[in-house]
Amino acid sequence: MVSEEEVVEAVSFLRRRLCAAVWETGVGAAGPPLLPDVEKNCRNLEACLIGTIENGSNNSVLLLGPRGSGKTLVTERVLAHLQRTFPERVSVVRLNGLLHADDRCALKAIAEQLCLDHHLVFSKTAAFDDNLHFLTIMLKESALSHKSVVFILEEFDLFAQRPKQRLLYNLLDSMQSTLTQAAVVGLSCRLDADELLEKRVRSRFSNRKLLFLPPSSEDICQLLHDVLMLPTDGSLGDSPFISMWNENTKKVLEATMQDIIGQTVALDPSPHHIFDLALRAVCNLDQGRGLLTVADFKAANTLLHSQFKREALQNLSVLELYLLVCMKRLESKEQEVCNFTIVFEEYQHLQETHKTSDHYSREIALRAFEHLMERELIIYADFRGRNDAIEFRPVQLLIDNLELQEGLSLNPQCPVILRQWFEHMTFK
Amino acid sequence: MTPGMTSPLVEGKMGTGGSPRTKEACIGSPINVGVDVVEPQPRRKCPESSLKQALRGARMRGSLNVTLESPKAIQLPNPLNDGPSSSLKQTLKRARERGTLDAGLESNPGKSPRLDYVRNTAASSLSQAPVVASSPMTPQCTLKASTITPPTPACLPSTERVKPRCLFGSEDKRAEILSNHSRAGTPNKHVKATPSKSVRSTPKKAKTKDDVVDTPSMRKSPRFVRAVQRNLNETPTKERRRHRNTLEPGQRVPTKKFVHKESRNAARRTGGSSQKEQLRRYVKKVVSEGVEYRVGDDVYVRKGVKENGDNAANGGAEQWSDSDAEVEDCVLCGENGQSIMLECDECLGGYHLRCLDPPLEEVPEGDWMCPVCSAVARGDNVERSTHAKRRRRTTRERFIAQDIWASRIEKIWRDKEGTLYFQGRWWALPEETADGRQPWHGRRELFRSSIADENEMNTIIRHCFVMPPDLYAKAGHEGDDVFMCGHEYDFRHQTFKRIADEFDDVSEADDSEDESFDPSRKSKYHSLVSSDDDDDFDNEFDIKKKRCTPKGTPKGTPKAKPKSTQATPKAANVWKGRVDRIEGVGAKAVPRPRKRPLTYLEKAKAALGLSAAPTSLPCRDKEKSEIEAFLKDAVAAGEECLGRCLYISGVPGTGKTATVLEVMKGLRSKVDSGELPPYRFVEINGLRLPSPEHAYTVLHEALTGQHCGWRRALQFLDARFSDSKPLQGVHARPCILLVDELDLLVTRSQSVLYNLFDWPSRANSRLIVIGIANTMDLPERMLPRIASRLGLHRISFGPYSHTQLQQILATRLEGIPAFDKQAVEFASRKVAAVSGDARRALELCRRAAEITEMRVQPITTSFTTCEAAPASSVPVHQQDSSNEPPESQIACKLIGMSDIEAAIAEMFQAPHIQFMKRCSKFSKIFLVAMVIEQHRTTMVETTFEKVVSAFMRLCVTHKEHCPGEDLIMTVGCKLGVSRILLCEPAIRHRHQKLQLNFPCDDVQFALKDDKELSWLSKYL
Repeated sequence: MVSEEEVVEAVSFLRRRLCAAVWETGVGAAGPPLLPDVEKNCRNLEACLIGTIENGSNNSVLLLGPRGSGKTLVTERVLAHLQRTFPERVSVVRLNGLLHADDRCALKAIAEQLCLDHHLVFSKTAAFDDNLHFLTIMLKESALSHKSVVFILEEFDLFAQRPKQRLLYNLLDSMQSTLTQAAVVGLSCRLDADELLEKRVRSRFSNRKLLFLPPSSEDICQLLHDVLMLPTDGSLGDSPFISMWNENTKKVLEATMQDIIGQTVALDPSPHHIFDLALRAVCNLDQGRGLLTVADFKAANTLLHSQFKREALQNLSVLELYLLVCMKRLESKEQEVCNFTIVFEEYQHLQETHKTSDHYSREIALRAFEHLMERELIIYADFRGRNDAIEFRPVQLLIDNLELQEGLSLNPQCPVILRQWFEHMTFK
Repeated sequence: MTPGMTSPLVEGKMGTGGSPRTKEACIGSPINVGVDVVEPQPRRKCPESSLKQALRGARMRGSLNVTLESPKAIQLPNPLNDGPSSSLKQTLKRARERGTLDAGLESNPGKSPRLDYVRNTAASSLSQAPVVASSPMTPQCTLKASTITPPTPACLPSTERVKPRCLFGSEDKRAEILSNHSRAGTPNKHVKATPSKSVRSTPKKAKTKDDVVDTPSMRKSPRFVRAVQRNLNETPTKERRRHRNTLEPGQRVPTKKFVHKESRNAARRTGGSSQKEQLRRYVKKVVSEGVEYRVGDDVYVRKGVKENGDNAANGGAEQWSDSDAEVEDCVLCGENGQSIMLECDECLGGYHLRCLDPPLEEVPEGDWMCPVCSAVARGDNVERSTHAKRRRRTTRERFIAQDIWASRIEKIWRDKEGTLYFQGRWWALPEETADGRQPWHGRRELFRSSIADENEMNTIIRHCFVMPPDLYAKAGHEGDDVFMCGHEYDFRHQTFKRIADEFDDVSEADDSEDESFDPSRKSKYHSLVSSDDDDDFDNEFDIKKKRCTPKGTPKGTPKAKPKSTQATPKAANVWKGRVDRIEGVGAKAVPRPRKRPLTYLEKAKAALGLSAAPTSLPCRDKEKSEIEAFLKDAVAAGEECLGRCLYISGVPGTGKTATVLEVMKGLRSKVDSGELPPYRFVEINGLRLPSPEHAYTVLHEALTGQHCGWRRALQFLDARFSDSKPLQGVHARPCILLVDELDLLVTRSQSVLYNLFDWPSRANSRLIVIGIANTMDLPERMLPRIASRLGLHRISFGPYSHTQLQQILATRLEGIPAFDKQAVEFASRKVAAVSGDARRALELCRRAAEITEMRVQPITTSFTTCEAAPASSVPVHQQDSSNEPPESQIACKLIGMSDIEAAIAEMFQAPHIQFMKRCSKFSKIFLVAMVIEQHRTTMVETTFEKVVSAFMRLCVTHKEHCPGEDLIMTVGCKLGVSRILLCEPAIRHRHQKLQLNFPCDDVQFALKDDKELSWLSKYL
């Protein structure tokens, strides 16, 4: 029988590997394995940065790829490796397009990080001019002290969408002088990020791109397999549990390969997505049993790929369902944009014709309407102010026919008449 | 010259390449009187005339403006001698006239003038002044007439013990000075005598040391004591002045300017400055015994001993018992014969070629170690001591043994008593740094320290020469006293910093040189040697701009902004108004230099970098000459300099800014040679200003040195340029203003541009404006009043054609056969077809070089697991130096067409097709659904609803499992994030509008051959 501690240890090891993928770059960290393409990009980036550190050639490179494909991971790993290989000769400045919304902010952040790195005193009140001058001086001094500065710009496309691309221009222009030893690494998920650059900036940017293309399904399945294997080289202990685990996992993966994993890969083959699935499966693990099962993966799949609108429909009250159906009817009558009053009239009409027991007053209906609004099944159609009363603002329905039908059928409280009425409407 | 001597290629930033040094026997100085001149044999080094050659070498270096052509000059009545030494002479005269000088001043101009100190007080307290004869220092060689070159053993068979000359010495007064100094508390007087005459020396007061142990890391400042001449009747200033005015006939008038200024300024000098500096008179160079010492020279300096003098005996004895041989003896035979001597790189010992076993015929290339050192390196235990004892030590050895010091003269002045002092920055040996000598430090490597001290000129022994690494590598035969210095060492922070070339940045240098010497302004670009080159000799104003106090703390100028008076530590990034060096930034250790030479690929990569600008830009001669003509015209026009505006336009990467800066460099050299009047150069970049109005601030600061807000700057500039009376003096210089990225200075009212281009047209403004932008019709887009001013002179830089690009690449790659010829042509044609941008071409070729390098020597580090990298690990492809393929395989290392193609694919190709080929299954179906919708409705834009219905139809038809709508939404949004589609935010749900970002044909091309979903092609 498997012991609790072993299971716990194995599970925590795997969770660490899957969760903290990016930031665990220290020595002995249990980082996840890399895809072969990603590893190739790692080497390219490293070659590029070593060129800067050793030979003093200033480089700029863009890392492009969809979200979750490993750009930040690669950058952090390469930087950690370089800091180990060349101690005290690399100084890193990290900027993010989302955080540093302005070029002034960005320059201030650069000045702050450089001051921290070199143990200088930083003043928050320095002007743009001062900071820029400081940047130039520091680049020169770093070059003279054989230190290279690496600028990491995440969300690079946001930097390129600033009005004058001042920061990019200044950084790339300073790399043209001999007295600088710097590299600029831009990370972006937009594939056309370099076309956003202005012609001046584009001319100064060396058009090096490292692409993080989506992997093939074989690669990604192999990756999943590698990630869920416990290491057999003794770093996690030497119990027979490890080999048991590995065998079991292999079997489970093969069983689920077609449907669950296949569906996941078909949706989004990025490593991040796959690790998400694996993480949820591991977290769902039954500690008593101690091994992965297909059921774990199924549960993970439902968690990960939940359809929120369907679930929302399942939890609605009857009145709300009535209102939705009314809106659908109005839509089928070519009145796509309506407001509450019209909907309520339709509802009343329905009640009159069919004499159901679900007759509610206007205020309650309004309340139900607001609830639908909060669930985002309905949205205001106009983007103007909120001065008008709720009843009179136009709204739009955000649910499809199919969705509504499914929701109605799944909802336990849905009266039969409503369903019939809905179907009747669609057949009309 | 020894044939075939090459120095290994010195890498730009690191490297201590050096050529094996040879010692040669002495060469007879051609000027020695009555001595057989031994004809110099072909040898590379001549220790005896080391000074001569070293001077020549130093002249080559350019920083020493030695006007002494040859030692011969000393013998002749050389007005040069008299000129600079007039200060000395005058002191002597003064002293003589005062009647206190006993020794007469030889009016023989041929002999070097000595400064006889006027001291009355007798004292002999210092026992260590075994003045004259008994000291081994006494020149036993009286034959030496040349004072520049120490006599060679050949011509002075009597002794090789040539003492370094004592300067400024008068033996008679030595004792007095001794007493003076001792009274003042300074120890040590070494008496050294000049070899030329049996003139005794004045006691020198060298750097004194405190009682604190002289730790390598901290040299205390000298307890600088003036020799107070209490017993002298001091001549009142007026008298002094009068004396000075009367010069002996036959002596060259030292520039009247000097005299007048001095007199004028002596009166002007008020008690504002400190006592000490009040009475300083700065000089640029000093000649003593024919040896000229200028600001910027490197000299050996005598060490001082402890104050209490109890060490005096030891120190003194130690310092005197050794003589300073100018020339090394051969280790093995102990003689200093005439054959070539080879210097060991390890122990710097000299060996005759014929003394070695086996005797060598010629100087070997590369590094050479003597047999003893080689044995030690191999691991044998060899006695080293023997071969150290027999020889006398040369000055250089004493220096390396830390018996004496070396420093670079920064300032020379004479105080009110006439003593000459100098401020010198010390050179530090590697032993004195925190980590001590590392194995990769060169044997002749020094570090420039951050400590400067003031000493008397007495303490100088003689010249030595410290060169930057590149000159050092070339200087194979300059003498024994040549050292190399590539880094600066900060004692306080214990960090190293590389010394940058002084004139790397044109605008910086221009600012510091071309601006007038205005003591009221602080220069932002303060260089190590103070930039006051205006006055020829005298430099009265001590700007109080000390670079460092002895403790290494920087001081701001007195005119620094009020910020510097805060008690809190100054923030490093508040930078206005401070000198531009940051303390505390430096490497903890100088990295090891690369031991192996660069391969062709690496050289090619270095040459192709954007920052490695060539000396002259090819293919831009016509434009360059136009700009040059314009500028020369404008600068030389002087009074008629009206309305000079030049507009330069061209697409990016065509060399506009580079050409202008090159022209400015050329003009600067013309100013140096006197063809053009001096000017000022200010550079403004539109993208570096926080707002367009800050251009006024920058211009104002450049013109006056003061920093203020832009409104006041505008007022001031307006007033200045509208002033009807012409500017005087310094401000009369024309100012060339270069505005880069001109289109960014355009504001709504276009006032900044208007002002900038209006000011040159006013009388007496002396402003010349050059604007650089990308658009050719920028003037037309401006208001007419600007257009008329801006559009007068235009130069357009067209994009490069492919032949021009080829030429540019060829210029850069000269001498580096790393590229296939066809490859270069292919690259230039490709770039010329796209944009004609020189930067693109260079980057393309550099990337191709990198690809080739990866191909030839791939990196094999594994990133899969975060293993601890071994401490000395370097990516493998650099460690393969030992396995470098033999020459025959060089051919495959050439950069060929395939590499260029790979680089083009990387740089020019859009990634979306690759991406579409490899995206997920549902993404592909989604794209096809979008294509279907587009074809159906003939509209590019569609809503999510419709796409979903098409998607589901496709899935149902082809038996694919169809995901729910929400998941389809995520698929669509992910495509939108990568900008393959353009879509609204997902909050719009089924009303979200979508559009393909690329034409349908691209999608078709990407997806039609898909293996997984072969049915897609039906719909495309």
